[in-house]
Amino acid sequence: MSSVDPSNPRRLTFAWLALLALSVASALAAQLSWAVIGLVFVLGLAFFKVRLVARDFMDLRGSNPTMRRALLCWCLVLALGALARAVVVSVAAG
Amino acid sequence: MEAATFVTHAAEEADGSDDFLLWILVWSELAAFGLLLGAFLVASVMQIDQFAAARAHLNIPLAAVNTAVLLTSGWQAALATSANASRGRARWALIRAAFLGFLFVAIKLAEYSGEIGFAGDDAYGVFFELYFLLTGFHLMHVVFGVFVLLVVSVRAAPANTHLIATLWHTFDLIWIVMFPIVYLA
Repeated sequence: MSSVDPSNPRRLTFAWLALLALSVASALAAQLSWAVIGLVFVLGLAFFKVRLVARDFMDLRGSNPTMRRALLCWCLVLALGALARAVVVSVAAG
Repeated sequence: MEAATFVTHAAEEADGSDDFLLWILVWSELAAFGLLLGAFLVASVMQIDQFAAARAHLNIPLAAVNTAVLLTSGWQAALATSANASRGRARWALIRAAFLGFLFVAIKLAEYSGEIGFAGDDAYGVFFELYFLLTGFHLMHVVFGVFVLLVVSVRAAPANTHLIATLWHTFDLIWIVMFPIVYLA
């Protein structure tokens, strides 16, 4: 096993800690009244969390990069939908 | 020699088929939840005030704690499939993942107890109907996953461990995206 083996337990633990940190940042950011900008930040954090899970937990970094990118696209489509919704709501609120 | 080659190729083809079917299952889940989340977003645009009022009743701190619980469970499932994991270590990692999954279910039910009273209230439009459908559907997947994690942990065969861990991470991914859209957006 190489030192950059994505299934290395130490790497998995770092990924987990990063996921927890991103989750705390999301929850804190959501408390701030940043409207659409805040939502961009929160959804961006979610995107990075999906990337960490796909790359490290699911071990798709080297073994199946196409699937990893497909999972990120799934997340991106939904995130863009949420952003579009936020923009529409902001415009409707005037 | 020809027989040995045939057996090798058959085994490789079986592994490839298993992965192909696994990803078919994963993407069927992602498609279903994608459609449900899309419907939630569309409904939220059509009932802006009702959704905003309803969201104020959600227990965001509890849901955030549950996010951490599910991510920790995913970490344990990933450890079970790591190259270092012996059968014994994999078994215990799967059991810990299952326990954390059970904790997620318990916390979610506690969260529901404070929210179920708002379902059917016209002041909140279809928010709570969609909320319980989305999160309840995900919760059922987690319950199913906990059960399978425990079953697989009995022998902790590498192929089965890989399968259930991949599914478990899929449920994790869905929650990671669902949480900001339903609770925070």
